[in-house]
Amino acid sequence: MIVTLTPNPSIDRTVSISHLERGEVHRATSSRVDPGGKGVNVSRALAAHGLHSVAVLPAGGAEGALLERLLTSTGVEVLPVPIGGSVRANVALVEPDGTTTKVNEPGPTLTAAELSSLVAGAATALMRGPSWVVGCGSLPPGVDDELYAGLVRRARAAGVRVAVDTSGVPLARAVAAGPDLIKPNHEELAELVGAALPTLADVHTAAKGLLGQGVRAVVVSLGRHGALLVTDGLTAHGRAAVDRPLSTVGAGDALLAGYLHATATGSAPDAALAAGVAWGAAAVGLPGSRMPTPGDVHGIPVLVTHHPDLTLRLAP
Amino acid sequence: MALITDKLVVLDLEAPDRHAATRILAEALDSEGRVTDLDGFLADVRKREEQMPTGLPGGIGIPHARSAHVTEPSLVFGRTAGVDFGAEDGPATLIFLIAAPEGGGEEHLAILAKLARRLVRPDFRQSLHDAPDSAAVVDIVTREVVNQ
Repeated sequence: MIVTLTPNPSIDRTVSISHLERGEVHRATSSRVDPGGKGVNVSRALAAHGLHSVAVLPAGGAEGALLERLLTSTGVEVLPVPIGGSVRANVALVEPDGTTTKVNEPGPTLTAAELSSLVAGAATALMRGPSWVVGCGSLPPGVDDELYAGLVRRARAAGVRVAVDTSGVPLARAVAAGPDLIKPNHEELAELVGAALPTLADVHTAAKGLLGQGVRAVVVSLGRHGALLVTDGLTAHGRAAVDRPLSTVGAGDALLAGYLHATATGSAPDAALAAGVAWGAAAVGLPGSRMPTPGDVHGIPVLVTHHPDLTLRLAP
Repeated sequence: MALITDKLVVLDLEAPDRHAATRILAEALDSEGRVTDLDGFLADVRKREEQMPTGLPGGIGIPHARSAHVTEPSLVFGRTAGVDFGAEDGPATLIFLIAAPEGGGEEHLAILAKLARRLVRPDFRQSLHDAPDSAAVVDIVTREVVNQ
């Protein structure tokens, strides 16, 4: 079982329109509603593979009730923490050529008591002895930047492996607490170390530096360049070709889910990287934030090398 | 056998520390014949406690163990003025001792999962603070947790 903590989940409505014109009334050609939030996506990807996960999240308002129902129906066990505000609703307007215009709400402000209940929810889930706990995504207004660092400390004390996938100050604080895994993308890693990282060598050096600060493993997602794993004594670069990319939304979350699942079932880190890259590539081939099933992942060839071409230039 | 009965509720729990508090709750199990070796069971709870602090934000303590000395899955509830269970935000006032037999499979995990869903609700915690007697606690826990 894997526990995910998503402090700022969402209901994502994707509306297709023929052409976006400011100030005009548009007729939608189709629309769909998906549960959103990085930790929620990790739980959905695990559930799509028939794996048990517990999603700890604040739930309030009609959107919160909908989120809980949608997740439960996909096989995710939800631990909803009641809040006075409403779970945020994000809207994406998609035009036929794939151009996407997004409007994201900031999310409800959590009170101190609600935040304390959220932490208590995560802590009780830890007592159930999960193989991993993972804290994902941005923090809603009012939540202390220490939230993920606290999760790392609590999990480490409980002997549960802990991963963090976030950005900015909450990521920097979590790194200082010594997580087992972080999964920044290229931009998030550059922000974390305070330097542009134009080549794979730069990414490698930056990730190595984080190991020195107490992080056990770093998986950097690099978009079409796959992902780089750096852990004690091991560097591996995994890549997969995607024939028909449809949507990169949630691909990093699928990658993280694949990696966590593989290590939880005993895979070595480089084999787990291969699994993660395959899950991520499969997600890129699916519309919207749909999470891949074993059928989607099966047969995706992943190339893992322990001697990557460090001169590779990465798109900014 | 019921998970919790009015004999497994201690409303005015007074103890200097969490070990003493846990012992008082475990003695209720002993009197009800639900543990075969009180000290053996307490050692198992303590071992678990050393692996991970069981105090939660919001004034909750959940000492728990799966133990060969337990004969029946049980939940003991204690209400106190405050006993330190290691939570950052202060002492626990509501304490739940979960006891599960060694061979009891996933039962204690199921109890923890159900309890967690209620403990994150302030109204549930308040109803336990307000419960006038043991029977009221058993009613609340049976309705909200056991039969969830």
